[in-house]
Amino acid sequence: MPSAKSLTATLLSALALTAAAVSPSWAEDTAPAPQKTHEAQAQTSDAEAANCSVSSPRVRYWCDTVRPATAYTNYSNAKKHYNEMYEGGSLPVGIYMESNGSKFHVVNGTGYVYKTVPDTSAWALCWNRSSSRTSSAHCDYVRTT
Amino acid sequence: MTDRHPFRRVPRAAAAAALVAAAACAPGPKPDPSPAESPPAGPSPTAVPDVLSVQERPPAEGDALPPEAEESIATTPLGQRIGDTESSRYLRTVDGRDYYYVDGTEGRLCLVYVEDSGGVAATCNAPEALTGIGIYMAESAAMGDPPRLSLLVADDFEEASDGSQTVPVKENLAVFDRLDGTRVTLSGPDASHEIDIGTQEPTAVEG
Repeated sequence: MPSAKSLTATLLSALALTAAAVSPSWAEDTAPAPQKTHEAQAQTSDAEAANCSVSSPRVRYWCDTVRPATAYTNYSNAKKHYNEMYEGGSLPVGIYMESNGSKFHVVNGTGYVYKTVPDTSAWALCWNRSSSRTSSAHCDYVRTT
Repeated sequence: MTDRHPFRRVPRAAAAAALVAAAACAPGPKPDPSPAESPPAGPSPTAVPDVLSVQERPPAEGDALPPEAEESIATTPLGQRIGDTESSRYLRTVDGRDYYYVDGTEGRLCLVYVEDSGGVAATCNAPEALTGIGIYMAESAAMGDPPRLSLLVADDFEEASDGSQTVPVKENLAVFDRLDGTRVTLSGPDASHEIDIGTQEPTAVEG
């Protein structure tokens, strides 16, 4: 019979593998989801955005897997006009904006929520409000030009 | 409050009659929970209607989405969630927000509003969410504040309560200015349904 120590080690390994499997990846929306650094995300070109057939210069991120009860942000502090969205199937989901450490304007819903906000220097976060199921997220902003 | 939507002045009884007539002429299979066509035994205690009659209402003056919403649909990912802007139906105006119903992609139902300031918000979900997890926006201007709740509501529910206040359901829409708690009970003559708004702020943030 395996010892309690070996069982614990096995469990921890399984948890680590699970965590690795659900770790988020941010990428341009229409492309596959390669791993990108936050710096690379901030440098995503408008030309790439144009491939999405969107006229306004914008950058889009997706997070293909969002853990339960967790919010994600790119932590880009560039000035921008946000357009934010979140796709989470039918799960409870939410978005909120955060500026200089101060959180403001929360929009919670289910499945999908969208909100335009005035020009601001803020981070936009999207989050999976489910306590048990993983989800996916898309976050957008339009650069202030 | 401005009155930009002439059909809002239609008396509710007349509007209801028009909706019934529209539903009778509407193409495609739609469940009809109307008592006249229900089985004699009536709905079971667990049956929850999921009809949104505003979907079937013929378009009227004032139903078109405002330019702000059209621009968002055309230039942002919102356009990937809205199926056909021609399907928009004005619901009503509450505290400077014009609410609309719009067909979403993949059969989803969308609730959209446009603020006086030009801000646009939307939420979409599958039809079954209407009488399941709910289709709503719960918004707070600051974290921790009681949220304003805008809820798309199926026919047959006449009011919504959070336990300390009750608001009417009009044009398939219920709005709480400041929701008390996190649960809302929808009730009507033949059904009731509870929606858990759930957690309002994340406990963990990752970059």
